[in-house]
Amino acid sequence: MSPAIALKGVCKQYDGFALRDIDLELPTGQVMGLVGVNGAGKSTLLRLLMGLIRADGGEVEVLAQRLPRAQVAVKRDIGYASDDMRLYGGQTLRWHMNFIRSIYPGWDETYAQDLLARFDLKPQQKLAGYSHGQRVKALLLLIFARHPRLLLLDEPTTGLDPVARGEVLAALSDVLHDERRSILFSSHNTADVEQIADSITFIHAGGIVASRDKESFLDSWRRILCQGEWPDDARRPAGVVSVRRSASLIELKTGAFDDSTLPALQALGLAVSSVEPMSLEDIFVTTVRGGHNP
Amino acid sequence: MSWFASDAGMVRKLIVKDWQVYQKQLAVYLAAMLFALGLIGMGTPWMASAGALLLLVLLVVVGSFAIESSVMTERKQQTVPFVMSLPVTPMDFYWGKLLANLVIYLAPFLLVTGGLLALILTTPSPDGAVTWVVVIATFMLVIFCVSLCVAIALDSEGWNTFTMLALMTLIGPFIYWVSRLDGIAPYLKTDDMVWSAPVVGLLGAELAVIAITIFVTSWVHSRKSSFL
Repeated sequence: MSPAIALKGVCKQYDGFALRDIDLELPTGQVMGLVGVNGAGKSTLLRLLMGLIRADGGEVEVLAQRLPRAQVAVKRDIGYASDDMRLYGGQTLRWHMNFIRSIYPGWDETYAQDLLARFDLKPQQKLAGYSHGQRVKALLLLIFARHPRLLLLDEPTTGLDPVARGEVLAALSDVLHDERRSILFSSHNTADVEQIADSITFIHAGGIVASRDKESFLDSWRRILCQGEWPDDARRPAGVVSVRRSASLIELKTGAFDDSTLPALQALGLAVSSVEPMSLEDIFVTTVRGGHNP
Repeated sequence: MSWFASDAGMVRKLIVKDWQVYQKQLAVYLAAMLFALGLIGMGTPWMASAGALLLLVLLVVVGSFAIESSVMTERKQQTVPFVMSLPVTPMDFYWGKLLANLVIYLAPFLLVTGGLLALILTTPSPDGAVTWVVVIATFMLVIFCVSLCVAIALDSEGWNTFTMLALMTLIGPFIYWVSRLDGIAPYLKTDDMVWSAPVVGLLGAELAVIAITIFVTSWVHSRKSSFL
């Protein structure tokens, strides 16, 4: 089966920022979390995939079709939402629903009504009177009710209160029951990514820093506490990204943890006192600070 | 990229969408224009002057309103990504925006121009003023089209506002100049409706400016690489 998204050598140059040599693949049916700090290039990448901006170089393929040539056909099957996207404040949600229904023949009114009740949205209310959380939910309703094959979500949970965030993530989880549906969503909230993503891509300063499936990603990172004298950097074991010393205690963070890691440390004369898994946030911060590509 | 829309049906939906979004405000302008036409129709010179001035102001304001609301404010309020995320090409969006604005402007424009022509032709007012009204009305259309095209082509709010204001300042001198033009002035107070060579030439030039402006804007838009 062809991937939902395939980027090869994609570049985009702006004044003061460049997206460079992006190679990325999202298999069909998977959820990929795109993690990066503000200004890392997440939104630029998603806009390229939507045809909102054109790449300076490289190949952009979405749902097995080349962009921008096939953008109309591709957009029929994509649901795109970004945190800076707004609906018409002077119009009601019902008006927006009718507008979208007139464009997408696959609009599912029953599902839309279900989402209205679930998100507790009033369809006859003008969008200008909605809170930020309600606006995000309204936007997602307009997308979900037409059953797109690919969802591109740019910071969908940013600025939401915990209740609204939970509702949005639960609705996203429901969408995932359809195995043919793929999702690429960006966030700097690693907890959201850890909750629903199958694979994780770190993006930093316009480049992909790491991209792997979530399980092996989390499995390969460990925080190790040792005692002893740390050798010079030339003898640093492969995969060790961060080393912090305090008195006789040494904290190591490695992105290549396996059966050989602990024996290698012991061979250096270190006594390992604890080995802990790392949170995605910790991995992300360590990766970005260490400039490491595991 | 092609200069043309990929899907006429989708462009039509975008035009209807803009019409629905701005129809209430437009209705208020149309009501005010009908009031102004009523003032002119009352026949007294004072009422006619006040009505004509009100019509001119309303025609300028409704043009600014359309451009400000549907192009510049939509850009600021970030509704453009929502529309661009629909199955449209950038040129579909461009033609939808251009034509929607023309439709929104043509409704009051045709009401004003048609109303004035009807008043001239059905009352004892001299019919020779018809050509004067047509030339000036077309000039108003030129100003709107140029302002609209600049607003679509340039993302700069400063340049868009400057263009609109600069073009508006030309209205007064243009009316003054046209009222003294050889092919128009002699017939203004007569019942002879004369389409003289200067009048036809002026109308041709005005329509050419509209066509060239749209042509250049289409070319500029087709070469853009960012559509937000």
